[in-house]
Amino acid sequence: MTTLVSEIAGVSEMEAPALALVGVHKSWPGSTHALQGIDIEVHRGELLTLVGPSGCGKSTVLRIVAGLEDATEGDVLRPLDPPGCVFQQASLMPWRSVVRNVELFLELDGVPTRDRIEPVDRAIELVGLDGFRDHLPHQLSGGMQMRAALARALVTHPEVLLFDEPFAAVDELLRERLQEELSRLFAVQRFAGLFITHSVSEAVFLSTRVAVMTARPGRISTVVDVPFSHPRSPELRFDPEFVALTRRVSTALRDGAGDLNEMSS
Amino acid sequence: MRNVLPPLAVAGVVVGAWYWASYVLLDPQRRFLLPAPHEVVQTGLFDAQARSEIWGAVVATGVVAALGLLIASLLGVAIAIAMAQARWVERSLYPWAIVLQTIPILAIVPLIGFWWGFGFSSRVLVCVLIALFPMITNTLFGLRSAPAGLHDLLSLRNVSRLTRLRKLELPAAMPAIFTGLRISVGLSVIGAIVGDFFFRQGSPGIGRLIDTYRAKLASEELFAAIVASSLLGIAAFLLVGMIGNRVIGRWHESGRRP
Repeated sequence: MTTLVSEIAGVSEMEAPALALVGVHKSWPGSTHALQGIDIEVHRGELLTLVGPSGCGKSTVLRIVAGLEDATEGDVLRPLDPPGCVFQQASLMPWRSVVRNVELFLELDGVPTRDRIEPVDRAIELVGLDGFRDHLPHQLSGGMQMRAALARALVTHPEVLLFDEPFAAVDELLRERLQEELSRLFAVQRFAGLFITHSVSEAVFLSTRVAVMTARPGRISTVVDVPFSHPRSPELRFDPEFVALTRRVSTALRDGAGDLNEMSS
Repeated sequence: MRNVLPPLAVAGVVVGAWYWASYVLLDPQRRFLLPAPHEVVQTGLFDAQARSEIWGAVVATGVVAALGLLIASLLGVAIAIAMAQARWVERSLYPWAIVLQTIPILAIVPLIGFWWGFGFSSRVLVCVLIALFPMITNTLFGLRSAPAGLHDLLSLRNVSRLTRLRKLELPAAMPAIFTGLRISVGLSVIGAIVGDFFFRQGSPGIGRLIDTYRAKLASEELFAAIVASSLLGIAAFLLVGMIGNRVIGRWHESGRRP
């Protein structure tokens, strides 16, 4: 049974978290626990990353927070406004131009056309797609489509942003630049972010905290704080403290992963 | 020049083969079986009586086919939308859609004549029956083709069914709808011609005219009428294709040139 709570007991912060899972279990009918005892909370100005092997349930956690799935047990605090989402497929509407895609949520919320112009323009500028407003998705590269999806998620200034491996399909150089861009946006907008990834270096670069998950059942084994301030520079990747944190996360991941034969595809 | 040469060359081969069949393959007594191309053109374009008969009939048939297609597409899309709402609706209606597909239309044309007479509306009904199934199946397929990621994004904001349909499912279905239209337009033209052929009474179209010429052994008029009906089919098909390109060509792969 799940209940929506407006305050989480025992929180020592001044303000309530923007999103939280308390003691959340999830099992699918006919199978064992997919998730067990998940405790997560994220405040504004925090970016929590979930790292874990394939199939450990990271995406399920995100979907529960988004409201696309229900938890089998435990409490879920969902943001009041719909969260912004960026998934692995940019999922832009191919029949709409960049502008029309970015304004989608304002349109769905019933914002009149003339009131949409400014926020949409700002969002497009923010992600650096200025000259491509009237382009169609098929005319954009993969990285540009991802930036358009980011603009779409940001345009309503949501309190919470959810990311499900958005940069997985992009080459390494572009990936690093998109990470830096996201860090810059985070520094300015100060949303509460939940980010899913496979990549340890991406996790450490982007987050204020990294949670390592193990598979079957999905559990959080370790949480690592990443104290660097945002926006973060590319040079940070070679900082010794950064590297040490990467090692910690990586070790925790390996410890929880089991032997080669147990790992899913 | 490169664009025009291949089609011209193929057309030349076809016309050449036609001449060969008319003059080489057939001896003079049997030449009426396949009049030469220039004789067909002469009758179809320059003989006043044949010309007005043939082209008048083509227009009459064309109107029937167009109206039949219009009704079939609107009805087909509406039924597909209903079927896309719930699996139980789909399961209930699909068998009847298949019945529509498999019933030999020609077998029920006499029935339609008895029940609704042999006039314009009966002819349109035949076209609708024949053209409906591809519109239903293609539209349903298209409605379901919207990516799950986009559906999730809309679910996040609790949009109504109608909004989801208008903003996501229908635009995503457009390529499939036009595929259905391309199939249905040919069927509708055939339905109009064949229905006309079998009705024998009521307002005449090119189908009946072809039969009349056949009975009179007026082979030049017959072939002119056959060519004219092919042109009707080709024109209808090209028209639907052009409209499709304007609507979806901008964003869909099918509009891109290699």
